[in-house]
Amino acid sequence: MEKALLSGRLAPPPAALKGFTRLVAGSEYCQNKLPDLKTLAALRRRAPVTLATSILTDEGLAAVSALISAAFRRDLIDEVIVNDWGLLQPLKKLTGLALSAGRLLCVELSVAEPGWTKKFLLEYGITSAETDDKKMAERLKALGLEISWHAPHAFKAVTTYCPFEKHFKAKCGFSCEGRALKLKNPHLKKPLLLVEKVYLTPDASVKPPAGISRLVVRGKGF
Amino acid sequence: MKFTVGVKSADEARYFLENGADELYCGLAGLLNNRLPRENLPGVSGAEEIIRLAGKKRVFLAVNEIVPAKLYGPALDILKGLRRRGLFGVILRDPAFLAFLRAEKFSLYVTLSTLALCFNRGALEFFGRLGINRLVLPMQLMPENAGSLLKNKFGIETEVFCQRLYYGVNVDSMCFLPCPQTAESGSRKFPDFTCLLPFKCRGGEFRMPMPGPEYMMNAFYDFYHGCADYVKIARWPNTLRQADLFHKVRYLVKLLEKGASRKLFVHEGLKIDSKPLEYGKSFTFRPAGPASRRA
Repeated sequence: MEKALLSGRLAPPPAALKGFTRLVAGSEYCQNKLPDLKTLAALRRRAPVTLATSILTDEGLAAVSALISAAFRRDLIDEVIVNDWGLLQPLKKLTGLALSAGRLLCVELSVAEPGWTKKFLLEYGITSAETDDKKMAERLKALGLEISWHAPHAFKAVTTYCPFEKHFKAKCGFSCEGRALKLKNPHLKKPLLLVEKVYLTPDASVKPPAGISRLVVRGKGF
Repeated sequence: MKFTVGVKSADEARYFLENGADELYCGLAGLLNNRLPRENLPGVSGAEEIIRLAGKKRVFLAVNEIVPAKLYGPALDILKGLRRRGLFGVILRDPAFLAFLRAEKFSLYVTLSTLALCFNRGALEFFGRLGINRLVLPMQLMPENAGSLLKNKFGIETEVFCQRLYYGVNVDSMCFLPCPQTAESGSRKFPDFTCLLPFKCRGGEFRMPMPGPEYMMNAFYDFYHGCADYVKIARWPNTLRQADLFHKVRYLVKLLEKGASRKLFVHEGLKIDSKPLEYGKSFTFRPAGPASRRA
């Protein structure tokens, strides 16, 4: 099983990469948290790179499409995690780029009618899927997808309104960089963790279920 | 801008039609949609009655969840039966079910639910190829990012919420926190309102943020002038609260129709009390009755 480090927008210190054979840059939850080409080049010198992408506005879609196209041409990335229906068509022309259905898209794909879903996956060349949920992993495996397991935090909710900077814009000051807010309330059994634009819980087993191809771990400070 | 209003009963349909609803939608028990089961009509005859009451006005059926394959046949039968009775359209979220209806050459008007992740022109193109006629903009998509959807090249109509009075703190279909909308017990206790809880964190207190009222008023002004075709008044457990929302939004739209300037519109809109419409206060199940007819 491959072990990948979720590194976000910036290059992690070399020591953080110990034990990992792949880097997942970018974010499944915030369109602004994209690495630039220079960072991707630095990451690529250390390990193969997957680029994670989120729900996108028009401006975000244009920026992400351009970045992916340029990074793939320079051989800086070999895989993209997609969470937006609108990104699939622009990526279709990038032959050889591996696509993985992100955790948001998998909410839909894992329960949609399997016949249609298999055709859809084939049409867009999606061969793997991201999840932190065991039942969902089973359903996605049944569709013939390779599974990337995210741990130890499970996805609970996402917003497009930045909780740190309080806006909907496709450009920001990266105020969330390195910040993870642990949110506690006596009415909740477990605290929530806020990073970027996503609320997570410490629910995803670090020990992945059987048949998983990749374990993705969130790096400290990313 | 026309009014699309969700209803739970014939009583509510009558009330909203008499008070200016341009079209109605409803849900049926057994056909998945994104509301509490008790907000659905118990049987097809309920929907037929609403279609009859609406006369020439349009009625839609909400089936806005991912539809399991085993429900395709029964759902199609129900839709065909209701179409014969005058059903105008269906509100969907599931691309697989959209593709199925298209393959069946089933020609109802299709509204893409706000729950579908359609935040940009590429996503609209994807769903456009599946034959949608209208898009309900995601509640968290603001006019500053919605230009290409409001004025799209596919002739797809658009529907919006009045976010000053009706807003989801997180992306609606991508929030799996406890919520009164999904709480089976309907306890409405604190854990059911996660998005409203005060949290403690390093550095003090935290509440899940939402844009301020002034921003929201400006957004609705921009949606109107950006040519959004419809405003949606969603079904709600508490009919009086829904009627309150309806009348407040109607007042705002009237201001816009009279040509209110942005400054005046925002000023007037900020005077509206939005407290009764907040999540925690409005999720008590109180269906329409004589009281709502007096509202």
